[in-house]
Order: sequence, then structure tokens, then C-alpha cells
Amino acid sequence: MFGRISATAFGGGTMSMIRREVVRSKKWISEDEYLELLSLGNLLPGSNPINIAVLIGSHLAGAAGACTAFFASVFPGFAILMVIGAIALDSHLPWVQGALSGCAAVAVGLTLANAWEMTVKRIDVIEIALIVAVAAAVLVLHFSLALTLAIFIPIALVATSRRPAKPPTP
Amino acid sequence: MIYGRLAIVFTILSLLGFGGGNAIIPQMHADVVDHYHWINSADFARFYGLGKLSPGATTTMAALVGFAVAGLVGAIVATLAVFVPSGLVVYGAGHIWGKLRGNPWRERIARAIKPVVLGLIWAGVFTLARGVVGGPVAIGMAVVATVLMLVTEWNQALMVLAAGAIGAVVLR
Repeated sequence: MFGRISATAFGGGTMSMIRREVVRSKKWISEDEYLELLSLGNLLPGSNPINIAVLIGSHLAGAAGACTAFFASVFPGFAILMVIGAIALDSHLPWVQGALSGCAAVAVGLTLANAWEMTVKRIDVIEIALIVAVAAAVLVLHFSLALTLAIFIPIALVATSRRPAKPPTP
Repeated sequence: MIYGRLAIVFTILSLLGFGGGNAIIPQMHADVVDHYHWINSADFARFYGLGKLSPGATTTMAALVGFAVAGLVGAIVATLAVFVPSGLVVYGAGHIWGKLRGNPWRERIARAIKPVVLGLIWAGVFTLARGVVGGPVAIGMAVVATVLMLVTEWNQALMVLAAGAIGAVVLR
């Protein structure tokens, strides 16, 4: 099942497809359980769609289920990327290079749009200040990822703890 | 040994990748472009584009870095190194997470991580943008993609695919 989702979920629709299959069609887990696993998968290190697959697999069938879900979600993307990569990277034809540059430009635009949408949802001044401080530390001061997390997560814990949780936006 | 180095770089990225794949982009760039010079900035942005185009996690772009450095074995090493360590952490944490239900720290940590991750994602956007080649035409395509993404519900992979087709004609 995860193999099929992974093979067909082009362009980041993976999470909503997982939810539709696991919760709505197959009824393997409840909506609440899904949200519970989702919040854990988002928090922990690692790619979100793969984390959620591992958690659902483990929830349903223990270690074997986690293993199956893991490989089923990693392998199709890997295989397809290898085929595209082997063709595209070996070639120095100008149109292939142009196509890759076009993909790169638009992918950056998509990520920028995602970042923008996630940021404007956070009207909290403290959170915006944290976002700017982290980005500046990484881009201007060249903080490593480890250093950034070690410094800013404690700061963020203090800065965000005194405020009541914002009500979920409708 | 090159496989060992690939494994170490991507294992560390895997374990520090809180909040999903996009947050590790600046560190991955610092490692594979600035430090080891395995690939250049332009290839980094192209691999990222291909990662968005292909199904599954964008982080699978690690496979392309491994492939560029050390062929198919390198691709397998990089992919396993970037996904297995975090997968094991998630598997282990799944067992204790349920017990923390209702613990106020759970919510606090989740809220603290979000702005930090978002800052890292912004840093990633600018890191990637440095590798976009093609001058004003490419910048124009990126801007159009940003706007389309904000105002439409179009599929991301189709947009990247269309960009590839346009790039093949106008960015050659």
C-alpha cells in the first residue's frame, strides 16, 4: 500500500493520500490516532511522509510492519530518481541542462511559497523574530545545523512558553 | 573512504533533521558543496528540483548526491544513511510517545520547534536560490511558480515538470 502511494504521490501530496487510504478507505487506524502519529512524525527528525509510514506500520504490525512501510515508501522514489538522474546527469546536451535549471528555479519558487504560507499564519511577533534570527544565523553567520538547534531551541522554549496556545485557525 | 564519508554526512543530517526534510537543506549544502566539493551549487539546486519532481520525500535527493559522488553504491549508501537513522528514532519514539499523552512538555516542545524549523526553511530557500542559473528568465520562472503556488491548488510535480519543458526550450 505504501509502495503504491510512494510511487504515485508526485509533488508532495503524500500526506493527504496516506490519510485517505489508511484512515478513510482501509480504516486501519482512527482519525485521532492518525493525528497523534502525525504530530509525532512532524516533531521527530526525518522526512515527514517516511516517519508517518514507519509509525503506522509499527502501530499495525510491529517491527516488521515498520520495516515494510519504510522500504515501501523509500524505494519507489529512489528508483525513479535513479532513472531520471542516470539519464539527466550523464548528459551534457544543452536542452537537458536547460530543463534541469528550469526544474530547479521552479522548485525554489514552490519552497518559497510554502515558507511564506507557513510564516504568514504566525502573526506572533516573537515567533517571527525567531524565524528571522534563525535564518540570519544560518545565512550570515554560517551557523551549523547542530549549533542552530542547540542555541535556538532552548531560546524558543523560553520565548514561546509564557503564552497560551493559539486557537487552531479554521 | 568515500562511502564512509557519505554515510557520516547523511547520518548526521538524518538525526538532526527535526521538522522534516527542508530544514536540513542549508546544512546539506554546507557539507556537500562548501566542505567536500562533491557537487556545485547549481547541481545542488537541480538535484533539489528533481527531488521535488519525483514521488516521495524530497530528501531522496540525497540519492543523487551519492550517485554523483560514487555511482549507484554511493546512491544507496546516501539514501539509507539519510532515512534509516531517523526511521529508527521514530520507531523507538513511537513506543514512548503514547505514554506522554497529556504531558505539557510535549506541546511546549512542539511549539518551540516550529519557528526554528521555519527559520531553517527560509535559510534553505536562499541557499537554493544561489544555485539557480539562467539569469532573469529563471528568476522570472521562480517568481511565477511562487505566485501560482500561492493562488492555485495546482500539483507541485506538474509545475516542476512544466518548468523542465520550458527550461529545455528557453534556458538551453
